[in-house]
Amino acid sequence: MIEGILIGLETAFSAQGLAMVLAGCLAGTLIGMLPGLGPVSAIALMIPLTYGLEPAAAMILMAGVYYGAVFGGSTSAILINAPGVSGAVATAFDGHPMAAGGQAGKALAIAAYSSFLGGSVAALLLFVLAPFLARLSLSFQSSDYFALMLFGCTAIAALSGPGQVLKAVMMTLLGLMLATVGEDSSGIQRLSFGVPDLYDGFSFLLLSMATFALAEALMLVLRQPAGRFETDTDRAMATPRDSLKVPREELKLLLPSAGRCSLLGFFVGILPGAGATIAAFLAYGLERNLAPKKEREKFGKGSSIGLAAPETANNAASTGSLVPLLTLGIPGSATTAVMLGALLSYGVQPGPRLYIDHPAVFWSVIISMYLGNIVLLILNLPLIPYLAKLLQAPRRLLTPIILFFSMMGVYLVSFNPFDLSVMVAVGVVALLFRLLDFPLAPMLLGFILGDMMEDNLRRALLIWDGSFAFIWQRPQTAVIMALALLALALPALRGFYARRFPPRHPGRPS
Amino acid sequence: MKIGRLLAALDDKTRLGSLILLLFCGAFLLSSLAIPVDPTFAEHGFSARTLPLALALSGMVCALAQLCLAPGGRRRERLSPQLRRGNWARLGALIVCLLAYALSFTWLGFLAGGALFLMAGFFILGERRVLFAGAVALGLSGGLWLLLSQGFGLYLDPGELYRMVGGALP
Repeated sequence: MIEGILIGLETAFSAQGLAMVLAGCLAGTLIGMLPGLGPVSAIALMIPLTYGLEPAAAMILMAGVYYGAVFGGSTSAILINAPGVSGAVATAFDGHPMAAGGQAGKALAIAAYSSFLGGSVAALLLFVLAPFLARLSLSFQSSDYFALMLFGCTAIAALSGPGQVLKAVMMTLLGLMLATVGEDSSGIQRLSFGVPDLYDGFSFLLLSMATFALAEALMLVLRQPAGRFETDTDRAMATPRDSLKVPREELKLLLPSAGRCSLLGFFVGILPGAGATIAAFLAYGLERNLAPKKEREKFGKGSSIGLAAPETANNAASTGSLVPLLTLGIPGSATTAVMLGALLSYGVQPGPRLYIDHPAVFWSVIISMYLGNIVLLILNLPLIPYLAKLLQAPRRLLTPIILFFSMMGVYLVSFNPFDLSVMVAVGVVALLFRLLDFPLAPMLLGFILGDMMEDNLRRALLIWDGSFAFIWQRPQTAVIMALALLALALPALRGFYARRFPPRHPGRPS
Repeated sequence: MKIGRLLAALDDKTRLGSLILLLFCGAFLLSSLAIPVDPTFAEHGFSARTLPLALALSGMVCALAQLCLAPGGRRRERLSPQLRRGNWARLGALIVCLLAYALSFTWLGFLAGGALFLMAGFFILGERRVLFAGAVALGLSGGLWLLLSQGFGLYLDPGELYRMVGGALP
């Protein structure tokens, strides 16, 4: 093993290895910033370029692209409220309000530091625990996954404000309903009303762009009085370079949160199928519940913890998702599936023997993960003031450009103009719900988790012969279900506690 | 008089939203009943229809609960002040522009459709420098087209109109 690690170090720190990490991070960041081109597309676009390379160098390049694209997706989520990948949705909750409040530079810097911390902790864990964790992740069954998806959905309790839990539940159900449109896993067409364009259901990107980017832009237009279209945001967008600094008091809150979210993200990322999205939502929910009352009230309005938590977790989960790929040959996500295809095309078979047969590939990828984090930080911090300046463009120009990029992102996924019309319709409905103060994030969460939840429930019922007994008879499932119920009940319990034990005013005799 | 009273009752964000969701869930329930059932899966208590039905019913229960529990009287959140303040003319023009872009995409294609949409959008939001707006629109649309088609090798539809004109050219 030591010999393998030394070979990996030599490969990763060679001139070619370092150049690959640098090129991968840069290309990934630029591609990831375009809505519609997430990590999967970025890696797929890179595959033809890697055919002339050694497998280890090619994998290092792809790992860099992966990281860069995840960070690039967060950049567009923060700057223009357009999360191009599902893992970046939770980043937009607090990242965009921060940017809109004139703190784009600080928001991007927090995202960069959090990504670095999440990725670094996860790379260390990957280095130490990979083979053991891979065996552990295999013990997860469909019923456990179903419970985990349900736990993810109960994060709505964290996403909703006081007195909004029922609205959030309704919107989650709406998202779950939208996820059932199209062919189900048994091959039956559902709710597509004979329209061929709906046979595959709605795409995530369509709903994400319509509910976030499109609805946000339309809301801005609606709220402005007649005359030339300029907003307060235009004036607030002055982002001097020193805004990248994070105050010490905030750091004190951010560091423990980043530690927790790194661990959470890594362990959720290991589970095949769970991945960065659930990790990001769970981390957001966890930190909102753990935050002091004053900080909790800032969530959704530009809380730095609310931004750092999902950003740390989704990066840690991206690294964690490489565990089942490298040690078992099981791709845990669409991105790692593309990486698996690339590995096979180089003649490398991932699995338990990978670190014996191809130690250079195995260890150099793990080491380059850490290198990639450092490169990404060095590369992105100087770029942040320039990226933040994008928002200083006048709103009368920026708004149509955001709309154009969002629509192009949706078109580039399916190359189907029908999706553009659906996107406009969904955007208008989303605007209506925003006017009515119904939260849209739970709807997107329900949509993202809907398919996986149904598939796992179906499999669990097949395994348990149509019985729901797995909920109380299988300990792992029971524990996760209990956590899900607790997460849903927490706002009510907190309200009860606040009423039962009201805070005493300082200086007043008790 | 009755219409006025109905409108006043609907001037409540929570109730109106819940009512819309209740109607949607009702329609979803009816549509779900039409989903065919595969007997193999139905034997195990879970068919293609199970989850949609369960979701629709849960949605209806939640919407009804919210309709009943929503605060009334002075505590209700009214929609009308927000409706009065909004710039509806500009919003309507932008939505029409978005729809026109979506519906004409097959004809105009990626490049021309994008450039025209951007120019129209700039105009609606108050940009009156035609040359500047045209240059930005063409530059962005053309730049993205170059990057995606020439850089990444993606096929971007040039549009029916281009094919007709291109086909007519010698």
